[in-house]
Amino acid sequence: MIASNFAKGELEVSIDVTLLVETLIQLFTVLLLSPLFIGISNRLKAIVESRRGPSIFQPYYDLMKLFRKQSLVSKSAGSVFVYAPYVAFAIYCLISLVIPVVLPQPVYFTATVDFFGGALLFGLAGFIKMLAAMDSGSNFTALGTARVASFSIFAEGTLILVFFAVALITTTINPYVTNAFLVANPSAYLTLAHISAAAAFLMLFIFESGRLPVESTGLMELGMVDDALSYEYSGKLLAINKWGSYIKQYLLGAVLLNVFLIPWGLQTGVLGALIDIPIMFVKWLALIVALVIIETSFAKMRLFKIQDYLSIAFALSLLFLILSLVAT
Amino acid sequence: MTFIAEIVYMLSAFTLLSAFFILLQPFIRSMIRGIVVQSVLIGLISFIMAYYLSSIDFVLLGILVIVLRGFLVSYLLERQLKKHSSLFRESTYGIPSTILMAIVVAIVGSFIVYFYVFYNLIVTVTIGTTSILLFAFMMMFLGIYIILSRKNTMTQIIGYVEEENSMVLMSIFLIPVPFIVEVTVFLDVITLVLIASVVAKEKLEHVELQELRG
Repeated sequence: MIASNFAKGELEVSIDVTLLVETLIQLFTVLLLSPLFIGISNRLKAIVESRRGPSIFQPYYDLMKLFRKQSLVSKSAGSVFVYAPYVAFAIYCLISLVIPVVLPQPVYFTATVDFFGGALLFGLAGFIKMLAAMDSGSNFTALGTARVASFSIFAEGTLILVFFAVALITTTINPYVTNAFLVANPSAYLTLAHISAAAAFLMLFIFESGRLPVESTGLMELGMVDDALSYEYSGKLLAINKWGSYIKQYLLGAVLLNVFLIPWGLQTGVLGALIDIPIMFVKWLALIVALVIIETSFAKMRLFKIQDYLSIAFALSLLFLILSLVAT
Repeated sequence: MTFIAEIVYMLSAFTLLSAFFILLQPFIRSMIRGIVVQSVLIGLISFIMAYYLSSIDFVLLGILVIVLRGFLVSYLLERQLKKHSSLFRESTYGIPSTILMAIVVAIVGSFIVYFYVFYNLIVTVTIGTTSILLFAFMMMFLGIYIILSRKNTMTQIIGYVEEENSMVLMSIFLIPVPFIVEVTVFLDVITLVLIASVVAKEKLEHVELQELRG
């Protein structure tokens, strides 16, 4: 907390060091560890498919390579195209302080927004990315934007409704209280609304992280969804964009783990924040194994089926939101 | 909430999900299988209620639901299906629009019924809270929506059977209806399916707009 004392004529600044350290641990864990989980998941998938696969540090190598390269911006692109990756990256960094992704305890900037605010910030970042893609002036990214926009109708709706469902179960919109409530009340964890919200969120997470039944990542033109937005970017801007999407995947996965699937086990305090890093790592490994099993046992959907898939996720979240309102 | 009530809620939720499965299927055979699954689930709920209320009526009701609704009706429908190969698949309007419209119909309809009709009555349910009736209401409106949205006679019969299933579910949760009433309703449904099958032979598709044209 910064308190200034002008009466004495001197500026007295006091900062809560513990809180600052916790904030920094949370932020840098998200920033630095998020590419690692992508790498582990890619490597594990390759091993299951009896390939050797890239190193688990490949996303870091990619980022390092891209940061050294020059950025090219086309003549038809405007200034939104250039600045949007930074803004989206900053929004993802803010979200990482708002929701319990590492530490189950409020840190600096947590009070900025609540659970819905977090969901809306996700929507804002997605919107800014789409705006930037439209601003690039390329036909190909416009096509990708159209796809993303038509899928986001259901994806963003599901995200917000799932958070509504959690808020109704736990009667709070503070994500930290939610986490504590679910840890303390296993019966709330097993309610119909919570189970269906978890299923809907898992479906959404599979879409957002581009796993196989949907596969929104990858540069295959026919099924390209997410990568079409960053198609015109190169060099540093592409690196920032990629890193932002790694962070987004980490954040969504951490919400899935800490609010829906395994809310237990997180420690508090500065030492606890350090212990939380390996705990989150173990949780993530469990999630990655589950996702690899899902990914290697399903065939890819056609592009137009993705909307069906997302509409079912949306229906699941909306239906059981209504039921949770009355069935408690 | 007791453990048995939790299980009944869960089974009811699965029944509702099976209603959605039936709604979204373009293949008529899968719709009929969905009806079988739904009836077996309702039969299971009935058996659990028989144990919970220690009443022999619910055991008989469960057996009747599974045998008549689950197997006899679906057998009759499948037999019709074999005769008409054109009934194999019906063209639908796509999953997203169907599911959105169905949810709007189901939620708005069941909320109107629940809050404006049932709110003023003193309703006693046999298990859980009064809100358990919402499952039955939503299923009923989904059945109505199948009849509304499809043109094929077979799917309309299936929608009607689903509606009747929801009635059984509601009567399980409400104060037990006399057993004789239940049995007559079951026989009614079988007769109606038989008559409707005869109609289906004559007229496979309903295109009302053509008849309204001057």
